[in-house]
Amino acid sequence: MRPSVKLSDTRRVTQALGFVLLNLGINTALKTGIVCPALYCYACPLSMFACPFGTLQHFAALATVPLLAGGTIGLFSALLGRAYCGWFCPFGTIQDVVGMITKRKLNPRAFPWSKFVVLLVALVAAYVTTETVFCRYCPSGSLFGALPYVIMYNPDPIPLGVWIHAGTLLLVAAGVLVVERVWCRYLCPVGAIFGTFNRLSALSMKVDTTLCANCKLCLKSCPMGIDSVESIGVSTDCTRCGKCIEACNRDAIKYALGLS
Amino acid sequence: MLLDFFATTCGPCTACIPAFKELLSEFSDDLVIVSISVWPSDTLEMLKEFRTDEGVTWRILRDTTGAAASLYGVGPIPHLFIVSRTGVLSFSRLGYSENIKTILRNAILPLVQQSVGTSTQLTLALSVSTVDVGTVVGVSGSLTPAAAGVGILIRVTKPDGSTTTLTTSTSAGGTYSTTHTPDGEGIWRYKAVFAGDALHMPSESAEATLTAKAPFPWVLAGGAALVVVLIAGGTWLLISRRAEAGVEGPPPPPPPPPDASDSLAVPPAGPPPPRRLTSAVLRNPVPLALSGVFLLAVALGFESEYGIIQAFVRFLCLSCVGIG
Repeated sequence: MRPSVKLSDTRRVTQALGFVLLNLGINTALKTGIVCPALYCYACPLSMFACPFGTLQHFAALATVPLLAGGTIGLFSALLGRAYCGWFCPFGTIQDVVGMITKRKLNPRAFPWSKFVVLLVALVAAYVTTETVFCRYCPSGSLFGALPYVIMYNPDPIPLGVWIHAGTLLLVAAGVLVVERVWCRYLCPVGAIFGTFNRLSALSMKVDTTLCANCKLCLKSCPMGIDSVESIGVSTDCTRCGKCIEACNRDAIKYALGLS
Repeated sequence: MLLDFFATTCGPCTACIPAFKELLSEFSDDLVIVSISVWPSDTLEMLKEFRTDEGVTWRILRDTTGAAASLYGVGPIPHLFIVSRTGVLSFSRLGYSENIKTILRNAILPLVQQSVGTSTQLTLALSVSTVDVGTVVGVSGSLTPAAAGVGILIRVTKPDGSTTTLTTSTSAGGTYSTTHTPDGEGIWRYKAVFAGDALHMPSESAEATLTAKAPFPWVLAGGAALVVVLIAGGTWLLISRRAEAGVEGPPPPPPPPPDASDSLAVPPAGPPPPRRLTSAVLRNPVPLALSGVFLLAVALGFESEYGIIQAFVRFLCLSCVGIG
């Protein structure tokens, strides 16, 4: 039996734990001021942690340097790079689950930098408007903020903004049926931040070229559409999910400690 | 009294203000409005700007510790309460509505119609909002319409929940002032009470809070740091158990060993993993140095930002979920 089976199982467990952990704020005594390593709505009545991007927007709106939030996000990034997207983020998990509905998907590689544009535009918009503009459209906020809000507070009538949230969520849901992890690939600003550190983080991935048969099974298995073996672990798209490790017949890809 | 729990960044809260103004105009003698910002990042300067921009004429308070919000069970904002002259909480409303004025008017009108005698308004202000323990604090305010020699009770709620009272009386202009020295760390709450007389209705001031400075919360900081380390470090360790230990070690002999390591818990052959993990980290100082820099930023920003970020999690701002 190959070890990759256990890797998948482990990842599913950490994804489930991430889902549970972030929602422990249903007990209000557990609502902390800690920034979590996932795009997650802190306005949710259940949330236990703060959304990194919501927090960054807020401090951008205040024109204040976010030492605690930035330091926490940086610390997460320096340790694991973008591994949180593959192993922890509930919105990534939801995309994985919804994506299971369709087997065959497209694998476009255009505009991989678009998430950096989202990151920049959203922060500038927050600074200029002094509001967390991105949050009004964030599909993760739709799922983990607007939906619980409607269920728990039963507003009448349901505000227009909630419908806008529902629309963005449905768009992403439709998107993952066509392109795997479409939000993470193209639009997630938190993934853009974490991905920037993929080349610098303590956790890295090593491809042993002496063992690689160039079969590209690893690339075919990649949910983020990475298109070259050299990009595994270092691309800003790599979520270190380990599906390439599982796919490799020759154990040529491994997690490692140190610079990629 | 209309209590308005709000934040300057909350669109629906701001949308309520025109209705407040109209109500204040209609019930000028019978209505006191107090807006309480529950958003820790609403600074005094921001509130002053907000007052100017929105034309607010009533008192705006800051709930810097969340104590008032907790007392009233405030979660999402805006959250509005109406308290009668006799101190009865008679109405509660969550969120903005286009007919908010009518809703509030319908709640206020029955209370006003119960009034007898001249209604009074009492204010209370503290000379500072944050002090060190043992510092003398000025407590002052005024009674409207002005009445000289009227007894004013100031109810002081200590951080432990027990209460004490101060007594003073009004001057000819209806103003009063006294002092108090908080002798313990925590939140002190002050409220002035006029019991009323034959000609005047009783009234209470809005509650003002004072933070007697507590030492830096090292235990809380440690706990938060521990959670961060557990999330990041735990996931790191979990994944790194599969890691290739010696980064610069010799290449593995081909062909790859079949079924050699079936479990995450089985380390590859070689020196003990702990030693090699340490070695690998030390040979790659960049992540280590980055982590150090970011840890420093966390340490520097913790005291000033933790409460602000916690407020994001505690208070569901309805504008963020699409109202407003």
